[in-house]
Amino acid sequence: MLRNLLLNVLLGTGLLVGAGVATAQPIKIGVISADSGAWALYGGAGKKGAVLAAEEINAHGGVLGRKLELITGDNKSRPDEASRLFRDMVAGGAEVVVGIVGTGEIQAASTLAREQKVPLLIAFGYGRFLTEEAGHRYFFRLMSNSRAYYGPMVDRIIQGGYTRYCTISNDFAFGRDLVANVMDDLKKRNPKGELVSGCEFWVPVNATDFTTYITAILAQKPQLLMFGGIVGNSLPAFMSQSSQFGLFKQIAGAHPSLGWPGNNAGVKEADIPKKTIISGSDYPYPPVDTPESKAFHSAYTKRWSEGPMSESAHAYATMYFIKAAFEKAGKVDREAFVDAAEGLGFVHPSLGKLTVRPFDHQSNAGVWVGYFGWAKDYNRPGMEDITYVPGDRYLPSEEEVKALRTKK
Amino acid sequence: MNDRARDEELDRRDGLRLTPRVRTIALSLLCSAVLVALPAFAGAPIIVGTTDTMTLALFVLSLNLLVGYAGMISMGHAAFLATGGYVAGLVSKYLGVSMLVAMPAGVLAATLLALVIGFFSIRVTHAYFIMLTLAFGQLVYTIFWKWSSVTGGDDGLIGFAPPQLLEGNVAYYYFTLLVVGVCVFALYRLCRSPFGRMLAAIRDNPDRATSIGVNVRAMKLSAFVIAGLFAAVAGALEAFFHRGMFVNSAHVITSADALVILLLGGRRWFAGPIAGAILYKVLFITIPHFTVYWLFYLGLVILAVALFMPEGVAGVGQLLKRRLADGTPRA
Amino acid sequence: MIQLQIVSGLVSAAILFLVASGLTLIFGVCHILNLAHGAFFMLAGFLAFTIASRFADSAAGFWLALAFAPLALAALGALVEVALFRRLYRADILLQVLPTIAIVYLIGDAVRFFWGLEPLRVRTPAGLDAPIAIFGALFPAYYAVIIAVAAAVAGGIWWIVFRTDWGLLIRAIAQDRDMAAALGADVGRIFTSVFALGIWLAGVGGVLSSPIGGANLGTDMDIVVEAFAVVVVGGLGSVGGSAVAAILIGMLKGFGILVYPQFALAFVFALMALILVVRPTGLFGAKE
Repeated sequence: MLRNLLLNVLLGTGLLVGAGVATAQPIKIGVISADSGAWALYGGAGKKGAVLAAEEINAHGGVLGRKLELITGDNKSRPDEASRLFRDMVAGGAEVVVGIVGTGEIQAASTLAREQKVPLLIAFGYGRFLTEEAGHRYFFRLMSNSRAYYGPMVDRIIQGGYTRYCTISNDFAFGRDLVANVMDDLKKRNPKGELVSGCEFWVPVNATDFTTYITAILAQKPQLLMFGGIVGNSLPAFMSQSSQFGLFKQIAGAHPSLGWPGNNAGVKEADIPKKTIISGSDYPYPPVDTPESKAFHSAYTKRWSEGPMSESAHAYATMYFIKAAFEKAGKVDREAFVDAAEGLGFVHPSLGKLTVRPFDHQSNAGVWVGYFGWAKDYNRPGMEDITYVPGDRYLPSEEEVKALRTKK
Repeated sequence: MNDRARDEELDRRDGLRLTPRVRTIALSLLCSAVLVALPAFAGAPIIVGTTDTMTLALFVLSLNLLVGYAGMISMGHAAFLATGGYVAGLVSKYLGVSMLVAMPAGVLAATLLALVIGFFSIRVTHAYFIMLTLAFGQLVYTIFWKWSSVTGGDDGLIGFAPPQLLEGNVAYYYFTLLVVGVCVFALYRLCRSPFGRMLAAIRDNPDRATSIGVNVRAMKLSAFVIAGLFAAVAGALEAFFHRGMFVNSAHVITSADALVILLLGGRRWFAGPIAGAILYKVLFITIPHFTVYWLFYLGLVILAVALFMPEGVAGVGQLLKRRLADGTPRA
Repeated sequence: MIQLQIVSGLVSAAILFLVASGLTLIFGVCHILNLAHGAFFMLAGFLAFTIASRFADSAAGFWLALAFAPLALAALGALVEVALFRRLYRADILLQVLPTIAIVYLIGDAVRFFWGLEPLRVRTPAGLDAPIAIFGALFPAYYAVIIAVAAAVAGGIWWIVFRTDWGLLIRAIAQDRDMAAALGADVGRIFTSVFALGIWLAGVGGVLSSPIGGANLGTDMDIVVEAFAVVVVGGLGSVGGSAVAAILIGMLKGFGILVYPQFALAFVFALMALILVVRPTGLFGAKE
């Protein structure tokens, strides 16, 4: 009897120790971010969101009893580095990888994700083809793509009754895509409206001298200028010069992502015309008035001594989504993760309750639409009169996605 | 030539049978053995990193044919790397052919481009050559960027991959090792041949070279085209490894990086670019672990090397070799 | 509305001239291809931001920035020349070009360290942002200031190079430095002062353009490539050539967007390549 007792104690201890060892094994999550180079502003913000989420999750018991361990890497805004880091992280034991890098760099990692059957979730990169033509089983995007944020802007333009437009955009893939899609949409749904002939301007990326373009646009006398393709360093310069020329005193403006904190950093209050520029944001300032949003904002500000950006919120939501998917799957297994993730709902700090569509792994995230303005209490550019527009209406149907993915 | 005679003199004095030729062969065999055995004892990050380093070394070796041997400093060499990769990718993606057909197609296209650009570039020298190659290089970059309907623009070109057999890290590593090895051997033979010696003669004294009957123009153009050819091989290897081709491969910064590697490694020796590529990759991968300001530290390294070690790592190696050989510090 | 395009073109030309003239002086006299020229231009914009902010973005703040930032940069340039390029004058061209690339990296990361990643805005000096009408077209008065300052600087440089002893020395050294040294010129000191002057010019360009373009990371590469195109077209070493080429390329940008908006950038490189192939010494450069 004593021997049985001893055996039981030994067995029990062994089991406890074994369980302890198992719970000590962390779940490795790869995080590729652009910490230097062209996307450093966005990559850095996204990484901070991911780290905050991981710290919170670990403080509350981790996932399935195991802690999250982030394997981070700086891809220096270069696609070849994104590719190398992806391979390294997977070889280092990452179960899934989160990408906070530009669209081109995501492409590099996405092909490898499909080959190696490793889920890749992104928190930056709005090119819609990523979940359409180029989408696959192992690719997830939890924030909106370009369709869901220019769609609502087109609605507003039509509601406003504008019939003569001009466009100006930085000359790169995102800008070209945006202008083409917006103009297509407008033409289809607003047959009375037209793009003024010759009033479509392309500026080199990072260009900061807009005098010639602004004067040319003014000369054409449109009713609205769609300048959604002006991003990055070009944007504050454009806003300042247009204010010097009084551009938006004479015509209305539309820019779907002007409310993005990363995009409007550097725009001065004096350069923002009151309620003239139709805009959107997936993380507007002042922060959205919901408990989740306020909690996120204060936790992030406390942790990093700076306000969050869209990418921070996306990466934060992505980490919690990863937790939820593993918990729904009941085990740390990639295929089970993908199956659990399809159709899974989650809460985004600024966009509220969202779902991941099972057939393309794109969430139905929408955008807050309103006017570009100044967020007084936060002393930075922001949005006024905002309404949330869900993304479902603008995204392609299951049949459309299938068609896009099969044709080559 | 002086070096070789001196080496032979020293060897004879010490009674060693180890001629420079034998030393080179022994060193090459040793390196090859290490590289072949690498996957057996190294993890995936090292295998992946070495694959990238091999293609980089080939790219810079090709550039050194121009810079080190012919004395022509090109700031547009990335154009050929990019063209090799893009055309190989495009052919594979749109014509559906296998990588083994697409790669030579890419190399051919880049070689033709090198012929055209080289034809115009070799007419000028020194600072003008630098400027002209820079201009052509940026022109090629702009075309890849603008022609986004074909190349994907700044989103990049994806949709092609190596055959299934070569998809894995290790398999592609050996493929790269094979291709790069053959190219390095070919370049080595070329640099050691009368062609290489004539290039050096042109570099050191073009007027004299002309007076002894060398067709300077033809030689320079040949060097330019051959350099472009091998750069394209590197580009094609890189494209298929990364499963994509991106515009930054054509940018002047890529050309400038290659020149930096030449400085780090030393351009007066054949193996200089190889040493430089390894050193650069190590710095490039490890410094960012400690700071986002890795470019700052890279800049410091460049300055230090330019001021105190202008012959690069290979130069230091040669210096050590001399000291070991005759035991007395060299004047 | 052609007046608008002309004024725009002249403003571009003015900034291009300031940057390119410095670049061409440094090449003509010191024989250095200063790839870091754009980095100094960029740094000037950030310095202007800081100085202007200290004075609550007033007009006085801006003029102080214009007075001091280029001088500060010139001092930095002199330091760099003495500590670095002095030792490399007899080295071959690769060893002279690569350190300039290193300086681009150093300045770029230093700017990020001190000013962060976000673009910064410099206010147009008060009183000059009101639009004025010239030939019926409206443009901000500040633009006239840019053109005026650039013209004044151009005049000043012409006077220095062609009407002073120092200018005579510069021209002598540019032609044959060893001969000039043999005749007693302190080549080292002249090199330092020319380099400093070149950087000063880039600084003036950087401060002047900051109310228009703001202070942003990434400006360094964009401006230096354009400046090299201007220098090549005008002729390496010719300040007058830079002026003509700057106007040419500035106007090309001003009008080009109306005609061929998409190809403006490729045009500039093609022109640069064309000149180098057909007439490498540019429009006004001396024979090699």
